Amino acid sequence: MNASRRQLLRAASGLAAALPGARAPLSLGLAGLAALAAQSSRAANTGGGYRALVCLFMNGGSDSHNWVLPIDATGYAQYAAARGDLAWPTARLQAIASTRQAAGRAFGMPVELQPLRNWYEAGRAAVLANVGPLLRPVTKAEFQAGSGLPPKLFSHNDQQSTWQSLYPEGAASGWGGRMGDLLMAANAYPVFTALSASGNAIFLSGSQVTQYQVSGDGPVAVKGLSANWMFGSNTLKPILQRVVTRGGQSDFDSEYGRVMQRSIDTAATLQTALSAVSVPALATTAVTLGAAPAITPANESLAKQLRLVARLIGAGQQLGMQRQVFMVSLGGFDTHNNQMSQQPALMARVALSVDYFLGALQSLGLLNNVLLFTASDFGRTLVSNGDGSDHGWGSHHFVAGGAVKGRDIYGTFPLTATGTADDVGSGRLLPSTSVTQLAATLGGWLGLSASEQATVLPGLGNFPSAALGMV
Amino acid sequence: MNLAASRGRARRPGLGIALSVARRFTSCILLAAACAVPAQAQSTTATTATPTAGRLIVRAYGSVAAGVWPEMEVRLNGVSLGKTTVGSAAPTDYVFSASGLAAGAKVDVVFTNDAAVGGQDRNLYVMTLSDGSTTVLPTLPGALIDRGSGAKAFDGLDTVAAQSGIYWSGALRLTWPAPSSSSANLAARAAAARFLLQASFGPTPAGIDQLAASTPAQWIASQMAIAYKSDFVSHVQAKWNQGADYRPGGSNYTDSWVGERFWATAATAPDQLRKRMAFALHHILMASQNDSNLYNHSRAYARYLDILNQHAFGNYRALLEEIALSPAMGIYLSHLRNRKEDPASGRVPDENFARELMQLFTIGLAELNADGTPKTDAAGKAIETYGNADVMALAKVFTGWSWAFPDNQLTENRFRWGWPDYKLGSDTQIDLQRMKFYPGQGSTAEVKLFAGKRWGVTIPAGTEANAKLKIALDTLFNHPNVGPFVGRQLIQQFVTSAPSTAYVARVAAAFNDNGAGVRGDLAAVLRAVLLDAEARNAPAATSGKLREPVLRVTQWLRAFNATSASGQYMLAWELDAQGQRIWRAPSVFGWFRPGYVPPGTAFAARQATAPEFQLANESSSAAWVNQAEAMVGWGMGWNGSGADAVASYAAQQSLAAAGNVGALLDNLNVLLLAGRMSGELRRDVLDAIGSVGGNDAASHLNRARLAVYLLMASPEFLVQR
Repeated sequence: MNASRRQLLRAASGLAAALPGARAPLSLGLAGLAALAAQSSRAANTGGGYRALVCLFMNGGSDSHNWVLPIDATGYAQYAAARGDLAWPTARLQAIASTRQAAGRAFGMPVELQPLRNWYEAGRAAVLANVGPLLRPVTKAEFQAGSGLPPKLFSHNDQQSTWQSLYPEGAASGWGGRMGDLLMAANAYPVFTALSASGNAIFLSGSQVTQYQVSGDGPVAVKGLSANWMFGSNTLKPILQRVVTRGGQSDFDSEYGRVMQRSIDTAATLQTALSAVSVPALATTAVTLGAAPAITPANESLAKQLRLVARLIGAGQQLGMQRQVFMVSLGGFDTHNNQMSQQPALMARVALSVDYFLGALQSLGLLNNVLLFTASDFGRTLVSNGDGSDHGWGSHHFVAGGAVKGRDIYGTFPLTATGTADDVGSGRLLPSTSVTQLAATLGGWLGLSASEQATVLPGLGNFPSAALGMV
Repeated sequence: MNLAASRGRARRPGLGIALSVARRFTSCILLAAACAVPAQAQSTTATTATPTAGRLIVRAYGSVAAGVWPEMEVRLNGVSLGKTTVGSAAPTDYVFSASGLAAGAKVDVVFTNDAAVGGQDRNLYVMTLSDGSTTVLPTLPGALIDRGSGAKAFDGLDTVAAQSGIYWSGALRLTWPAPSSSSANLAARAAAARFLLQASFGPTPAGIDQLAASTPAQWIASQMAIAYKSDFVSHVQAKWNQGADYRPGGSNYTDSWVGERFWATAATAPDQLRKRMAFALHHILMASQNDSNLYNHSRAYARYLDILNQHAFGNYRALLEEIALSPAMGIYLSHLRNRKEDPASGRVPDENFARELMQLFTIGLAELNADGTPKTDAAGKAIETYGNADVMALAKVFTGWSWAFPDNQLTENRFRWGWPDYKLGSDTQIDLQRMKFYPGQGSTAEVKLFAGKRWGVTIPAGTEANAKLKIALDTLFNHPNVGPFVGRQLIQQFVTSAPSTAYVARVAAAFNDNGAGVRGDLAAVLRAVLLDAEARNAPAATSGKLREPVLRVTQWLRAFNATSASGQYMLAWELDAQGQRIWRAPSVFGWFRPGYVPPGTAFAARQATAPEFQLANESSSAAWVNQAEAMVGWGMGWNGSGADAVASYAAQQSLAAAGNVGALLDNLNVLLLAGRMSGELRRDVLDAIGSVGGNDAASHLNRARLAVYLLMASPEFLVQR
């Protein structure tokens, strides 16, 4: 057992007496949590300035076959043949640079991704081809024999969970949260280590780190706790504080009271820090990209979430944060039908939102300190069902930020055709790179040592290389 | 017993000699003299309240002057019970032995050392007086403060209406009231309320009294005897009948009428059990208006909701077929217009509905034992119920189905491009019919399901479409997983988040055989869920559930007889901050997952599911407290000129006006907490009520509202056990 592993276990045993599972007194508070966390993560390298990871999750399973695709004559012909009515015409595609794929291959993106393509071409974004959940490298023959496969493939909820945690639904923690466990000691406010702008996501839960969920406008305060008069009483505040946080009758009210206590303890601190941050406003004029409908960033859920994350990152500088993990998400990617009318809007939403976010980071002077990566339930079938595509496995994703060695496609871009060695049926891709490897690469950038990466990413040792090279 | 003391909570400052409350109390009785007891008196939950003869608890605090605190003497029928120093600025219980305290007894609380010294004003503040069951405010009708020292405190001269603050040497004088009827029969009424929280959209005062005189089994029987009638379609149709503007595409059209109808029926419909069951089934057989493809098809969606009501006590097999062929579901899971495979182009059928029909509606992902635990293989791993080949095969069954145009119009053109005509005058209501099979449009290939399993089946190539559908649905329905899979989720919906395996097995057995050899009888399943010992007995430590936001609001609507100013119950986005807008779950996986285990909690430590916790976070919890404030102070929903749903607190206001706040707390304990209110919560709410000044109607309404607000904001209210 290595040193950091021992430290983690020691910290965990210390926390076992103090954390929710063991009915801790609420008075443990933030300082206590910080002290306990400090035991756990001395080994992680949390120097070198602020670093944050942002997961952009596309709910439903994005058909990435249509986000990045071959445009050389042979490749496009294979693509068009395999996709049928789901193929973009060449006129809608813009070439992108790449040096790492096989000679003779060339790639492009639809025009709706242009704002993201600009960052890619500027070297601030990269593509990771055919990534997906794997327990270990498997062959098509092994797939057909059902050998060595991640459980519950092709199921939305389970593969969402697997992408975020490496386990199907019911997972106890996600890899973002587990990384946070090892990094939180570097933060003046460990409670803000893992923040979600899009509700509950297993990605951000660790064994010690609790995901902190903010609404679209930031933290929500209990109004009654700052009201001097309420329903004829001017001495209500201490009573209200007790009433809304008190558990003790069962795990249900105790755990709920704990959430409430965390909310009360932190809302004002976070709000104060946020109010001092200035990031660009979202555009209120509509943008039309390719075949997408006119999109006004200021009205877009994803753009608003990313703006909030940019503000939280700015606030983190004032609060003394060193390492943070964030989650944003967008729905609508389960394109069983109407795919060709839905996809342009989905791509434009993502591209415009990420474009805003990277620009906002630049304005904060923090572009080099933040990595955003995309994720989704799964890729989809190449083959059409007449109006859309069905649940698949491997898919292409983006990593963006100043630290990215961009303008390239990492991993192995598969042939976009059915019947290949990567096709496990109807153009469902057998991943050539695992989510585990992607996570290890991002974790390494956050400062986790190789052994720490292995601790939070079970099975990492089953893959030949942990670092994928894009950061 | 004293829950607070047993849990070792910090005592309030003041008089804390570290003795247990019980020991202090005993010594008080023995001494029959002035005794001051630390803050918490005994627990007074409705189910455990036992009037303790012969004691009087005065809850009071003081302000100090020149280092001297108020002296308080308490008299019963003119005889002194003792004297004490009120030596704390925090509300504290002072307990006196008081045999003979009964209705009509005269109680005096005498403040004997009023003074103002160097800008410090020594005063006595009396918050409540209690005999352990009846708790009154100093503002009890008829109470007064007789000012003056010594005998002058009892001379009937120089009096003012009673209030909490006693600013003069003198006596607070009152007559002990008779117990309130609100405090009668508490245990039976609490049990009734508990059952109605499980089985309906919330108890009403009248419903509690009726059930308290009956039994849950009788209540279920009478509820099941109420015939089904259309709620949602009739409501939407009535809107559409108002003219072309109210139909899809019209300027007054909206798809939110079905949501409003939900609130209206949850609040007022007599057939609560049917509708609550339909709501539970909706969580399992999910189609969501969150899909914009359904926007113009709100009447089809209304039909989907009516189907859930119609089959709530019917058979799950029939319900499955109706749902499978519902156009709203066909749009939502995209098997409406699903095309057969085409080997030439490589096109394959859409797998969406086929997959979720198995994963969510019938058998789930893992093979289950009869008690809901997963079966394991030789290596100890869960056995998956189906593979992708099964999904692709089943998808073929759901090809060739689309809108129910007349039989002579079922052409390929109609299949691929036909839409219902919703225009006034030409509307043929095909959206209310089951989807029809279009000859020639469905796959004719062989369908092999669950190859190698005992329940495997091969549907021969060329089998007629309806026959094929029947075989497929029969195969799924008869799969041994369905009873435990659906049964466990229904238990989670009605009773408890993590039922015992034995409870699941009992409900699954009822699914498998209703006692008359019928499988899938939902009435039998529902009786098994609600009448099980685990539902009816006192809850085990781990039993219960966090209640979803929609059910908190329906409980409020019903508990306080909320009325809708527009008559339409125009609630819409109000619960967005809670993550639960009615009929608009984010996906087919619903608002929360039955398998959700909140990470980093006591639930995770014992791998217990707690689905509703998926919606509980730092933002939603704070927003709920603010929502409760708005509901209590203002109302809920917006009708263009004000709050649309407004509750009445007249009953609670009247109890506050009577000064008998113990009765007010008893009333709310039954109505909101089914009698589970902890002693600490009761004490806090009483203190809050006691902090409201004034003796007029507005003050009494404030006391009622404050009590409801605090209770609805408390975690104890949010939990059903």
